[in-house]
Amino acid sequence: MSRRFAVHVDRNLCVGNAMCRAVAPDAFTPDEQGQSVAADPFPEPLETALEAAAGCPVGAIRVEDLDTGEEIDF
Amino acid sequence: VLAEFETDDLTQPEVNADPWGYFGRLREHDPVHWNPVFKTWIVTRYADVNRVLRHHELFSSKIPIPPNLADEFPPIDEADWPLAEGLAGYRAFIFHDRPEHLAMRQAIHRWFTPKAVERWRAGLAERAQELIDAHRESGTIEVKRDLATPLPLLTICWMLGVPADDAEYLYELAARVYPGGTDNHEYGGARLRVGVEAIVKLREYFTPLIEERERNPQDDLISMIAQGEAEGVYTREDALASIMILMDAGHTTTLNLISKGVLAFVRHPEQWDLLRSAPDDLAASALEEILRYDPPLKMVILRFTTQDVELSGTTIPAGDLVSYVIASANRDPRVFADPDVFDITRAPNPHVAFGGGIHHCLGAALARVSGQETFKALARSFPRLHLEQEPEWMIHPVHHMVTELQIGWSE
Repeated sequence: MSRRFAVHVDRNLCVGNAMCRAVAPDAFTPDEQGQSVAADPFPEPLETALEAAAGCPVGAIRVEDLDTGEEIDF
Repeated sequence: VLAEFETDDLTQPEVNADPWGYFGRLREHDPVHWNPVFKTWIVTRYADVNRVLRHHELFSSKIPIPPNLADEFPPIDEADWPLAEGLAGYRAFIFHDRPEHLAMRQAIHRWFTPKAVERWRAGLAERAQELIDAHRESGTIEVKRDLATPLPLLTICWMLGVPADDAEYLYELAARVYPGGTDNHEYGGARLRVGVEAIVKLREYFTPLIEERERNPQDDLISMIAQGEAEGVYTREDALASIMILMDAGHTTTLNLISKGVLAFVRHPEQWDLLRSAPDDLAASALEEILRYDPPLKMVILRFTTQDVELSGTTIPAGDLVSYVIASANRDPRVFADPDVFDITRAPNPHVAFGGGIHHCLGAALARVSGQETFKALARSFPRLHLEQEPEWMIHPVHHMVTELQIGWSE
């Protein structure tokens, strides 16, 4: 049974660097401010979500375990 | 509207020493200003600056090759144009657009994430304290030379994987290619000859290192770049240019951040007292406020419109050079309350000191760690700071930098 998770982008931190969109173009889309919005539910595997979180240059992406409510470390 | 402004020569002392005055007037009266001297549009409002930053498809970073040398200011002698064209062949990742830019940045960006740079924090804190302690007895320090320069230089050597003893030699050379860090900044042909000589020496230094790391990869940045070269992401010229810009951009800006942060605290002793009351809690927000209040780069002259673009009611034609003014955006009253007040508890603080969009400063997280640890160490060491002499400002259209910063301190 795979973990249920959600991906959050902190709008106070996101600078529109778009590294996440390079990792998962279908899962992150830019809004009118050029900031990334994560699709919900997240259409990619957990590994992809964690790769996007790890690659974010400003640490704006958080992956939440929906069963525990805790952040999943990358 | 142009007639209201005293000059379009951005190297004039009054623009240079007080970018907020000049660019602030532009922001309020002519927010998308055509500067006929530098032949660039100057964008000064926060919302417009963010639009430029976050729309790389409209605002390209790819400098035309051959460069448009006839438009350079101050002018370059025609006899030196071949030199300028030679230099333009060295294009660090920041001068590329997607898709090449993405591949070049992906090859190294994992080294610069907030989590990745934590590995340097303890070493930086220790080194900052050593540099401060070395001047404790004398009661005076030239901040730029004695603290703000050696610290980031050491970090970039750690990251690249070159001996710390080579730091000064390499920085001297890199600063000649991208002369933001030199006090004797010269415009025109002379800077090109100096730059070309420096590139030859940097190539001699780094070429064997890149080749050695290709055969024998280490846990360092040169190995990452060497791997990128092996995979066809970087040409040798781009690999060398990227190393040079990491040397210089990563270093010049951080030394500027530390120097001007000290200056801001000297001029706002109540904020210094506040930081000292809780350095661990306040260092992070203090650093963001330094970045907002007096950013290392006051403006960036490096975007080209890919089509006609409208900003604040002005249409910029396709192919024009666009400059954005960080110093002015960071004090736009539409975004920041009391923008001219230095408040180290300001929150939120969405300044654009590191730019934004796909070219957001690669070294931002590292600059934050370096700055935070430096100001924590300073705050723990010195209750009182004072200026020994009023600083002078280096003449430069992009950097807003003191020539030196002599301060005194007392327990």
